[in-house]
Amino acid sequence: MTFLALGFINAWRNLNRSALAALGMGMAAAVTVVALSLSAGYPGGAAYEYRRFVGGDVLIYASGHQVRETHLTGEKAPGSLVWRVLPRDPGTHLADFHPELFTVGTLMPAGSPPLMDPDAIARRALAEPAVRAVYPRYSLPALQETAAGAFKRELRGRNLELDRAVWRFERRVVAGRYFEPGDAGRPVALVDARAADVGLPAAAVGSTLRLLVPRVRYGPDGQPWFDYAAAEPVELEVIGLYTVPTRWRNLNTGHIYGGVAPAGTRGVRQYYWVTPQVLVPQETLLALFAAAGGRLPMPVAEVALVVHNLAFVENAVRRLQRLLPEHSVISTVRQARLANQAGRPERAEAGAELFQAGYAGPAFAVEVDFGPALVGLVFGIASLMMVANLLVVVHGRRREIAVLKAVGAKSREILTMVLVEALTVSLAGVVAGFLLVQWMVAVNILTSRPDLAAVGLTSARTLGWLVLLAVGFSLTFGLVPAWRAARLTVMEALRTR
Amino acid sequence: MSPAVSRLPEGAATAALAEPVLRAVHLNKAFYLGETIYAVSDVNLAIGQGEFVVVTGPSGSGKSTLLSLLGGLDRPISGDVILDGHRYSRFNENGLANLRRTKIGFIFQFFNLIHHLSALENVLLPMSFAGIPRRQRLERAEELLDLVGLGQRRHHLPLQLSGGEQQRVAIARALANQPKVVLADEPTGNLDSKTSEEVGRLFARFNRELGQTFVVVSHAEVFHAHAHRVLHMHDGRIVRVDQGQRG
Repeated sequence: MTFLALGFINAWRNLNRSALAALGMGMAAAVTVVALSLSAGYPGGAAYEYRRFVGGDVLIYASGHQVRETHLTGEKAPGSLVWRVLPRDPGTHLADFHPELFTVGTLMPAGSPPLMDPDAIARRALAEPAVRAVYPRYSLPALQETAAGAFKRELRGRNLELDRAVWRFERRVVAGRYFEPGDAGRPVALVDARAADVGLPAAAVGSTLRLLVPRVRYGPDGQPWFDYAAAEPVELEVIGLYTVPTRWRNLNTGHIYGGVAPAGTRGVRQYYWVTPQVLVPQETLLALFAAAGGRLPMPVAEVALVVHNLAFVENAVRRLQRLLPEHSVISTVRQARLANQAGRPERAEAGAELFQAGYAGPAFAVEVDFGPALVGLVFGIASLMMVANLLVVVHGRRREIAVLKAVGAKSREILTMVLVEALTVSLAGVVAGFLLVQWMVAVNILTSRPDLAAVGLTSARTLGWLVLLAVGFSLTFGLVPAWRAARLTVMEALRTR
Repeated sequence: MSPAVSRLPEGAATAALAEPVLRAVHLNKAFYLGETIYAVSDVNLAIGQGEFVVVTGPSGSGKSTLLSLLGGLDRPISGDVILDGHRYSRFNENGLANLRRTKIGFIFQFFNLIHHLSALENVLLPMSFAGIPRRQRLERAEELLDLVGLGQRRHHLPLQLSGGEQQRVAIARALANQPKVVLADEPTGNLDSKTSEEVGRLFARFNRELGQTFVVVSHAEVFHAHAHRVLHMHDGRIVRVDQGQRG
C-alpha cells in the first residue's frame, strides 16, 4: 500500500515533467473516443433511436418488399416481382418506413418464401464476420375492438436480454416500468404513450388491454396465415408506456437533428415515431402464437442483426445481400433515411415539415477498418513517449530508489511503485483527453451543432475501453523503466553525489 | 591478491563479546577490472550486541564494500554473514529486503533523505514498510525526532534543514524499526568538525542509553572516543584491531 501511495505521489510530483507523456495519452484518448464513437454509430446519430426501437443495425426481410433502387426509379424488372397484400399478414410495421408502400403487404419475387426460419437465417448470416448477433423479430397481428371501432394493432416480442445489454430500451419508458426478467412469458405489455396522436385508443399503466388475436392456420404450402374470423380474445396488463423520440427541430434555425433534443434546450420541437405496436416479452409472444394454434419454431418476416462496427454497416449489408440473395437486406440507418426523405415515419407531425434533402449512399466503401490500427498506433506512440519520460525520471531518482531499497523496499515493490506512476500519468492523460472531447461536445451543443457533437457523445463502454487501453499500454510499456528501477544497485547509486 | 594471504590471527576481530549479533565468516568480495580485485578478502568478524565498532582505513581498502555485505545490499562471492541467527546465504533478494527493513538501520554520507518528504515522513518510511500500525509509528517517529533534537522541525523538508540536521533525521530513520544493528557509511564525511562531534556524541548516546549496536565506517577519529573496537582495513582485509577508548 505504501508503494502504491508513493507511486501516486511521485506521479503528481513529477506531472510537470511528465506533461508531454500525459499529453500524448490525452491525444490517444481523443482519437479513441472518436474511433469508438464512430464504430458505435455515435449514440446521438446514425439513427440510434430507430435502431433502438427496431432492435437491430441491419434487418433481413423474408422477401423483397423493401424498395430497391430499381423500384424507386420505376425500373421494375418485368415479371420478377409481385406486390402482394398478404392474407397472412406478417404485420411488419416497417412498411410505414417506406416512401411508397403504406399498406401492409409485401413485394416479393414470385414463389419466394414469405416467412423465414429464424434459425436457418441466423446460421447463414453469422457466416458474415461483421455480424455480432442475430435476433428474430417475432410479431403477431391483433385487433383492438372499442366502442369507437376496431383498431389494427401489432403484438411485437422484445428480446429482454438484448434490450438490457445493447439497446437500453427501458430508457424510453415514460410511465410505469420496463419488463423484468420475471415478466418473460407473462401477459404484460408496453404501449406507446402517444398512441392517441395517431388515432389509437390511449392506455394507462395498470389497465388491461383486450386484443383479438387471429387463429393461426396453415396453407397447403405449409405457410401460416391468420384467420381473423376465428380470433380469440387476449388480455394483457399494461405495465408501462414508452415513446420513440426520433428527431428534433431547432425552431430558430429550422435544422433537424437525430435523437432526443438536449435537456433544457429552448425553441425545439421533438418528433416521435408512433406505431400501433404493443410490446410484449418475446417468450410471451411465442406463447400467444402457440395458444393461437401456431407451431413452433415460429417463422418470422424479419430478422434483426447487430454488427460489430457500425461505421462499416453498409459493407456488411452488401455482403449479406450476396449471401442471402432470396431475402432483402437493409441497414436500419439507411431505412430510416429513406423514410426521412419522405418526411416519415413520424406520422404525428406534418410530413412536409420533416422533408429533407435526398440521401446519397457512400460513393465508395473502404473494406478495412483502420480504427483499431489507428487506436493501437496512437496509444503505442503515446506509450513510447511515456517510457522515454519515465526512463529519464527514474534515472533522476536513482538515489531515492536506492534509499528505498536500503531501508527495506523489495524489487517488486519498486516495480509496483514505478508502474503505478506510469499508470497514474496515463490515466491522467486519458481522462484529460476524454474531458477535452466532452468539452468539444459541449461547445458544439451550445453552438447548435449537435450533429457534430454526436460524434463525441460517449458511453460508459467508451470510457471503459479508454481505461482498459491506458492500463494495458502503461503497464506493458512501463515495465521497462520499472524493471530498470527495480534492478538498481544500491551502493553504487548511494555513493555518488 | 589471494584471500588467504595476510590473515589476522584467528579470533582477533571476533573476540569482543560472547554473543555476537552480527558475524562475517570468511567473507570475500571480488570485482573483475582486467584482473580480479578483492575488495573484501577473507574477513571474519563478530560484533556483539550493544557494541560500537569503527571500521577505518584508507580509500579503496574495502570498508564500504564490507558494510554493504554486512547490510545485505550486496552478495559475497564466498563466505556468509549471519545477523541475529539469520544466514544471508539462505535468503533471496526479498528475504534480504525483509531483514533490512526489520533488523538493519543505514546511515549514509550524503544523508539520503527523500527530499519531497518531511523529516517526520522520512522517519515514518521504514516503519510503513515494516507494517507497523499508523498510530504506533507516528508516536515512535515523533519520539525519535525529539531524541535527536528535531522535534520542532519535524514538518520541515530536508532541503530546509542544515547538513547536521539532515544527518540527525537520517539517524532517527535508521533507528525507527529498532534494528539489531545500525550500519553507518562515512556519516560525518559531509559535515564540518563541530557537527561531526555532535553526530558522534549522538551515536554514543544511543549506544550507551539504548544499547544500540553500531558499525561505523569512517576516516574521522571523532568516533574512536566512543568505540569499543576500531578495525583497520587495508586491501580488503582487516589488518589490525585496536581497542577503542570504551573498549
